[in-house]
Amino acid sequence: MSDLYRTTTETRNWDALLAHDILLRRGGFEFAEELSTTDGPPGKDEAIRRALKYTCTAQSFGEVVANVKPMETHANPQHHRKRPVTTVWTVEQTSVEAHPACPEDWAVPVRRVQEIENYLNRICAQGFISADVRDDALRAWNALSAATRNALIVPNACPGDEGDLLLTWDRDDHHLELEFVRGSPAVVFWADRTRGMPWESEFHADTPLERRLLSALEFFLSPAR
Amino acid sequence: MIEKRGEDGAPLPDGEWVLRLSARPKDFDLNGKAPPIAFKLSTTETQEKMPRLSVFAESLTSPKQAWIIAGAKEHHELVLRLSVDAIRALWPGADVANAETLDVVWHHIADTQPGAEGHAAITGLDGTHRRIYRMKLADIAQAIPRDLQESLDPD
Repeated sequence: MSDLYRTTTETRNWDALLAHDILLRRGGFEFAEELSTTDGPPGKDEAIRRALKYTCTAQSFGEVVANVKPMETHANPQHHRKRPVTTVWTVEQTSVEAHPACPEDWAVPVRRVQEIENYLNRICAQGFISADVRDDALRAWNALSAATRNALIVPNACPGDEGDLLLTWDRDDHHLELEFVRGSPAVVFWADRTRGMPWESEFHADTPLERRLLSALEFFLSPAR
Repeated sequence: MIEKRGEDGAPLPDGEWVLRLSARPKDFDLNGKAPPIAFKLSTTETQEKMPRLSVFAESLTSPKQAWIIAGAKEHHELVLRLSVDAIRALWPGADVANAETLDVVWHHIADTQPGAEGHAAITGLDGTHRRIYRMKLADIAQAIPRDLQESLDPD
């Protein structure tokens, strides 16, 4: 289990994870809630109440509840000790407004974390990247996401021919990438497609981010924020 | 349509297309885009006297032949097609006054496998603007899944 996943599942607020995930997907979407075996499934209303209590008005809460239905429930072997059951809910045709008093420590939505982590785990298992490169990439993604209060969109990712890995963010003319090569510091690169104006520098997930990198991240925030 | 390769180092004729193999990016099914990392020089290419990126002239090399010559790598799931004219027209950006330009030249290799005579190379990817050029090459590339390509062209 990576540091990123451990951070997300054990130290962050699970309800806030779900709420953020919901707010990112106004309209048809699905989300998951993991439950303790001793608690048992809480039922639809309680599950949604837990998910939305930090971020939604009472009116939008009711609107969401009216459109939620359970989709599937299955055992999750990864969490057999603490959270052995996963319930996936679907929400259709909802319109949820964020409450102004959102918690400061919104965590990374479950699906967004799992999407990039699953891909990196897969190409690592296939031998296209090393475990070191995978872990470096996840630490970097976690640091960048945290720097944007988890509003940074999920990057695209692709391995190279020599065990290297590239994470990329693209929106309109703006391009940001993080390159990982085993045994070397990661490199961050930003460019404006039309004007050029590129810059690049070493990236270290455990040190404060450069001001110009923080500015660049602003181009790649989720539209839900 | 080229029928015979040119001299080693000579430019490919205008109007030609070249092929490059690539891994499949995470979001390929969503956006169909080629990855910039597909245009990164390998360690060996970087250490050459004239650093250049390996490609294949489409007129002389089929995608399957290119895949085999490039090492038949499992992760090379995409075939990237690029117009030689479009490659030569790339520029780092409107605010960039001086920069190297890219070119596509023949690169003869000691390989007798079918399709090897189509081997060529993109030059100019070792300079200060290499990363922005990689991004722009990815932008202009047509990315096709190799299995789909081979089903359309079994040869």
